Amino acid sequence: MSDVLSVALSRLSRVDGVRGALIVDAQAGVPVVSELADGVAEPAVAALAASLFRRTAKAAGAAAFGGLETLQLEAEAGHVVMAGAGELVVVVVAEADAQLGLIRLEAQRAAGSLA
Amino acid sequence: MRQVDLQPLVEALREPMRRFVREARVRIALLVNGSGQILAQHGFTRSYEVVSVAALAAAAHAAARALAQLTGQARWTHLHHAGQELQLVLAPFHTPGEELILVAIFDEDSSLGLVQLYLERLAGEVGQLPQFQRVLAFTDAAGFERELEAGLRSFFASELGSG
Amino acid sequence: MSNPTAGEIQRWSEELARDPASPAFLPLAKAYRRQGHWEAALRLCLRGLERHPSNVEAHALLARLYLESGELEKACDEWGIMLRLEGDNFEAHRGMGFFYLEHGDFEAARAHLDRSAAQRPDDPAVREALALLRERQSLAGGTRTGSAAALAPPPASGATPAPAAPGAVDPARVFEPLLAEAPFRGALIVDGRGLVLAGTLAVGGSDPGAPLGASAEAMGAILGGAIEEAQRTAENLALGAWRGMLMETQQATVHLAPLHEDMIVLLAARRDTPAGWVLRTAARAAALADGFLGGKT
Repeated sequence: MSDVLSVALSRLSRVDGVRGALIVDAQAGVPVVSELADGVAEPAVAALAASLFRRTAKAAGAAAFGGLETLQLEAEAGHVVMAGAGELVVVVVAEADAQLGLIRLEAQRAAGSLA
Repeated sequence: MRQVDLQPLVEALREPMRRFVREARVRIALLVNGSGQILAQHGFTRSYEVVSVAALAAAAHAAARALAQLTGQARWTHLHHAGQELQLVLAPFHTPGEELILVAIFDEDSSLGLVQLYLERLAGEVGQLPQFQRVLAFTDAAGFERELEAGLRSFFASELGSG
Repeated sequence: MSNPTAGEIQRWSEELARDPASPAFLPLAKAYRRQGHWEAALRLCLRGLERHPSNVEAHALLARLYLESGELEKACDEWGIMLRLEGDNFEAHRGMGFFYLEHGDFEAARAHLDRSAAQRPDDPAVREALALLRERQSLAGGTRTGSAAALAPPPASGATPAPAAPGAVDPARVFEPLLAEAPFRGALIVDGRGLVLAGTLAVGGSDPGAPLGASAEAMGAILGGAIEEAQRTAENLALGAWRGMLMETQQATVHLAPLHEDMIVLLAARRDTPAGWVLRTAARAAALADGFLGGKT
């Protein structure tokens, strides 16, 4: 399993504009494995991204949108892309001008390989 | 045990604790010293016996510290118990004056990660308070009981007042 | 009517607690509605009507509550009761006019709207309804066309505005320019309290007019927590202000973006819609929302 995680992360980390990628325990909000650039706070990314994903998933369910599969947060200085994989969430922190299409694809692929 | 007037301390801790509870989305947070004395609490509900929780937290802290020493670990970071609906975290942190223990009880609205994240901020803020800048005096057990009672009365009064 | 004070609300609540037959249920239910507590307002109104079945104002409030939740048939029942109690009631005639217009019964719609217009010829909602009636009647056979359906969103959207809503811009039609886009399933403007200001939504199932599991009104409240979390995440990770959130769920692709003054615009599209289309259309929706809000202020 750890090989699968590592491979998934290293593919993601190689994409242009990615500052870091983590696989996070969705319920606990703690990182399982990560590859982050300097200056990216691993515990904060894990806790906040997992919380955002969980809360949005709950809202999506309540709103009858069905299960949440991917979530993308857009902000002034960057993006956070998340893809659900059962009890895990693949989290990618990217620059504002990153290749989002590729990142989303790789995040979904990583989630698919974990689920 | 603390031999100081608790009221200024209660006042000083109120806002950091309130913020912690709001940001970490925990149901209840207690700040306890090594003797089991409650220094602050927020999110109190009558379903919890805070005095017992505080005493047990101090005991658990002492046991965990002893275990850490026996196994060659300098310190322990936190104890986490995940129940069916509720989770409990006991996390010690240092101030210049004394070591404190945060007791946080939370449900699915929060997570261990969020508690840890905002605990760091809480510890930083509490460590800056003037009341925790020096090693504090100790008193006897009877004095502790009196202070505990007085402290709890203040907490409950403030909770009722803010409700 | 100015917003009731907390003191007034407390006084009405106490009156009702003392005397369940008190007429205070009506101002209290109105206050709850204004505060967005739809369920509480509905319960109070229904309970009050058990004791005051001939209170026309209470039936009018109940009709409005049903209308706002998309339950047009129930609203129509209430207007019917109002007309039995007070044959010339303006609001009931106007409501019935809209109901029949929506159901394609143009003759009945004309009769009710004419009676409303006779009482208040300058009422903008009545004038708009009459214009719509003329437009629809001029269409071949008087059947509902695509454009007519677009002008009148399905009751299940839950965001259907009350006929009494004044103003030049119909809140239900703000996002009309996007209706031609096939993946588009609706858009809403939601304020900081989770209340829907404008727009319609129809996400459930494959039929664009299919009812939604949660009403549009509920949507704002439900998504409030996620929006708060998005803001917090962006700020805490030093990413600056949040600009949007794209959710891909089993049923839909949904985009949320902040507008000014704590308002957000929600765009819903079919699940299989490309993300790029959603982002571009979300920007158009935001511009339409800005235009609407700018026009209103």
